[in-house]
This record gives sequence, C-alpha cells and structure tokens, in this order.
Amino acid sequence: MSDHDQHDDAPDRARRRFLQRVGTVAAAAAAAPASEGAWGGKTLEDALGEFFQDNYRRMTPEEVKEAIGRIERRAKRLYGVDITVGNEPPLPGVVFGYAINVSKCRGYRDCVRACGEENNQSLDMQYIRVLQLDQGSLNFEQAEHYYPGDQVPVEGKHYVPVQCQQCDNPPCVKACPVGATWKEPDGVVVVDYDWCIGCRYCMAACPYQARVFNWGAPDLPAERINPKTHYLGNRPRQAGSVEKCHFCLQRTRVGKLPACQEACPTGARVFGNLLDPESEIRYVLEHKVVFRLKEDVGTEPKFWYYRDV
Amino acid sequence: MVSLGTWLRSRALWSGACLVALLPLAAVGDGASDEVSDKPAVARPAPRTLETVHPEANPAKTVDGQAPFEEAPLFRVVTRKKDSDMHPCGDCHDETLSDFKPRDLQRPHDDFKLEHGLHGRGEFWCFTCHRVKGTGGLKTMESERLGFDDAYVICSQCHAQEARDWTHGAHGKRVGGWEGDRTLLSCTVCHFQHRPKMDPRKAEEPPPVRRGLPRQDTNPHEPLPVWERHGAQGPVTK
Repeated sequence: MSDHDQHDDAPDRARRRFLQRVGTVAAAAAAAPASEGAWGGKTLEDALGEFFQDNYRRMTPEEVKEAIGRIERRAKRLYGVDITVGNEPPLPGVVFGYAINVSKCRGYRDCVRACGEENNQSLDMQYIRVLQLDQGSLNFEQAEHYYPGDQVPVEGKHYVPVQCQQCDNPPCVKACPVGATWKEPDGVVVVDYDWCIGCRYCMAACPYQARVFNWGAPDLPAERINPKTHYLGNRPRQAGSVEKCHFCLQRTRVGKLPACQEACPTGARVFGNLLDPESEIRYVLEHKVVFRLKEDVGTEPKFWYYRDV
Repeated sequence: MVSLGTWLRSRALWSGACLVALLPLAAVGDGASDEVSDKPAVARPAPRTLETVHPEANPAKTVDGQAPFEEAPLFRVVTRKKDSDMHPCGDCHDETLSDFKPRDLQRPHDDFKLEHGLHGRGEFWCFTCHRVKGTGGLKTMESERLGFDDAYVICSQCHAQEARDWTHGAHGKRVGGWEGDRTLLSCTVCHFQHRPKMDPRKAEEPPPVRRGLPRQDTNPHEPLPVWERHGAQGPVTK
C-alpha cells in the first residue's frame, strides 16, 4: 500500500513543479509584452484569424481577402512599410518556361542581387546560385558557388546559374506532408508560406537544392522591402517557412519579365510562354542545343540551358 | 571549351568579313569621292517602329540560306542614348576633307583605337561603316545609307548568326515584358561598337553561409573548394 502511495507521489511532485514553471512563464509572458499589446501587437481578431487561416487552395475569395489584409497589417507592424499583396490568378493559355545561355553567363551575380531585392529575401538567403565550373565540365559535385567576385569571368571557368527549375513532375510537391506547396496551372511551383510547417522534407526531395529555409526571423531592413507583392510570391515570410524561386509571380502574371532577366547584363536569360509557338523561349528550344539538369531523375524541369553553337 | 568554340567561329566570321570588307575599302581607298552620299537614300522605314524589320534589307551573309532578318517576328529596337550626339563627325568633317586611306590617325584622333575584330588590324577603317559626309550616319557594305538607329543592320553583315538569334530572341535582351510587342536592345547598347569585347569585372558578393556557420574564406588564392576549408571533412570515401 505504502509502495503504491510512494509511486503516486512522484508524478504529483513533478506535476506541481511543472505547474509552477507554467505559472512563472505565464507571469513573465504577461509582464514582458505589455508594451506591444496582449496579442503580440495584433488585434484579437487578427490573432484568431491567423490561427484559423486555411490552406490557400481551400480559401474562399473573401477569406483570401481577409488573409491579405492580415498580411499587410503584419508587414506594417513588423517593418513599418505599407505593402500591397496581390492575388493575380494564373493567365489562361500560359505555361512559363526559362532558358539560360551558358555561353553568355559571366558570373556577375547581378541576377542574385536583383532577385533578393525584388523578392524581399532575408539577407542570409538566396534563390539563385551561380555555379562556377571548370570549362568543359558539368560536374556539379565540383561546382563552387561561393567563388570570390573580384574579377569574373575567371580564365578557364564557366558559370551556370541554378534556381528552382519549376519541374513539371515536382518531387517537392510529393514530399510535402501538408500540401503547402503545389504546381499552379501556369507551371510555377508555389508555397503557401502560412501553411508550411517547416519540416523541410521538400528541401530534401529537391534534386537542385533550390529551396531555402528561414532559420530565424527574416532579416529584412524596412528600406529594402519591395511593397509590390503577391500572395504566392514575394510577400514577407516568417521564420520556419520554406521558400524558393517562383518566377517572380508578382511580375510575370501581369506581363512583366522576372527580375533576374531584367538584371542580367549579358542577355543570357530568356523567359516566355511555352505554349506560344512565336515566343522566344520556343525559338531557343527549337533551334538551339538545349539541356536540362539531372534529366535522368525524371523531374521534367521547365528550365533549359543552351549554348551559342 | 566554350571559348575555343567562340574563337573558332569568330575566326570563320572574320575571314568572311575580310573578303567583304576589301570591296568598299578599294572603293573609298582611292579617295575620289564619297560615293555613298551621291546615291539617293534608300527608302527605309522609320527606326524604332514595328516595321523596322524587313527581309529585303539583305546583308551579305546568310544562315542556312536565310538572311538574318528573314521570317523574324516583328520587334522594336531600343537604341543607345544619344548615339548620334556621341559621334558629331559632321561638325568638323563637313568642312574638312578627310583622307580616306587607312593610316595611323593623327590629332585629334590619335587616341582612338579600333579594337573590333579585324578593325584593329588595319582591315577595317572608319568608312567601312561610317558615311563620310553629312551628320555622320552609317552605311552598309553595299553603300546603303543607314541611321545610327539601324546600327544592328551594320553588325548583321558579318555577325549573321548572332543577328538571326537576336531577332528571334536567343541572343541579346528583350525589355518591357514577356508578352505582346517585342522590344529589343540594339547591339550597341551592350557592345561598344569600336571595342565590343567585354572586360572581366567585379561580381556581386558571394552568398552568405548559413547562420551559425563560420564565414567562408573568400581569398581568391584559396585553392581549396569550400567543403574542404576550415578543417571541414570532405565526403567519406572509405
């Protein structure tokens, strides 16, 4: 009997200790954020709305509108910037494709800088990696993307920019356990940053190392924020979410060119509609010797590389 | 590999260009007169309109039996700013008669260098591309008058493959948007016509390493790849 008492007593003490700690934490929590309000600076309505926000694909247009309002208020609160979050739908009869002329790329990394500025990227992450390879080699095991930029192109090297290949058979989408990433009708693989649980299975599944993870709160100086955003594109993200190149949806869905194409000083980048037989990308695919990265893994990228031959 | 291919191709283009170039050189070389200015200007649609492309503006070279601009989709051209302002040749040369013969340039042009393929080797000369009289327009090898806005026609005479790729979008750069009317940057926006080769330059900063890891050594003389620096272990092979 006494044995039983002793046995019962131990978890009780543990429970008491636990409750004490909870009490302390709660007291601290109540005291500390007094300056920023009871709900971390949000209204109760926004806090509840964020908590119960659904997956983008299941939301009604009204719910999307409310979510956009919350995102805009959040950006104002965190960064003091008025942003507009667009929700442009995919254009009918359009599938986006990209081609890069590797003979023209000189490794300047202007695309990387422009991408960061356009897409509100945290300063510690980049969507585009410009790989430096020995001339005549496409051995990506030996590729170096931390090459110093004092003087490029370096003699005997060539450069291959790699970003999300917008696979037609995307392994990241299959890997996501919660359906937070999917392929849009215009072929772009997008992420619902609010629905993402940060498990990073998609990053492990991607053969191109095209996805990046917010390890901490994004490092976004207010003056660097691009206020023209898209829900599935460049809106400010949060810690613990995975993000990636989305072909600048906020630009391309209104007919503009991606930021990396605009920034490229050598004209190595060709962007367009794969379904339009008159488009430039179709000319490249039909008249140039093109290749895709890791074709053997069957991901069917909509991202080609070609040479001036 | 890439540079070798480019070099070989440019050699082929140059030797072709050399043959074509000798004809007008012989014509202007005797210094008789500027035969171009005597000819009536060829009716050429106004530049920077969609009608700029016309297949009958047929330069000497073809690709697969096609002229560079044949079957090209319509496009507009963005020319380099103040291109004609930068070449006010007519300001002096309307008054001064030039010596048309290729020679070492004297003041005030002694610091001018042509470093454009064969240009720098005495094969080309100012009047291969420039009109002698007037406000300093351009002319083709066949003495067709051109404005500075049509400079891409001059380039296409030798660089036919590039011109063909450019009109179709595989070379050069489209601006404005991916749909609708095509607006292209003219050749001379990116390539300085008298010295088209682009020099190496400084690149943007390398990407930062992930939070919590030491910053990578970006010493250019560092021979080790990134995964072998800072005592990091390479892939296990045993």
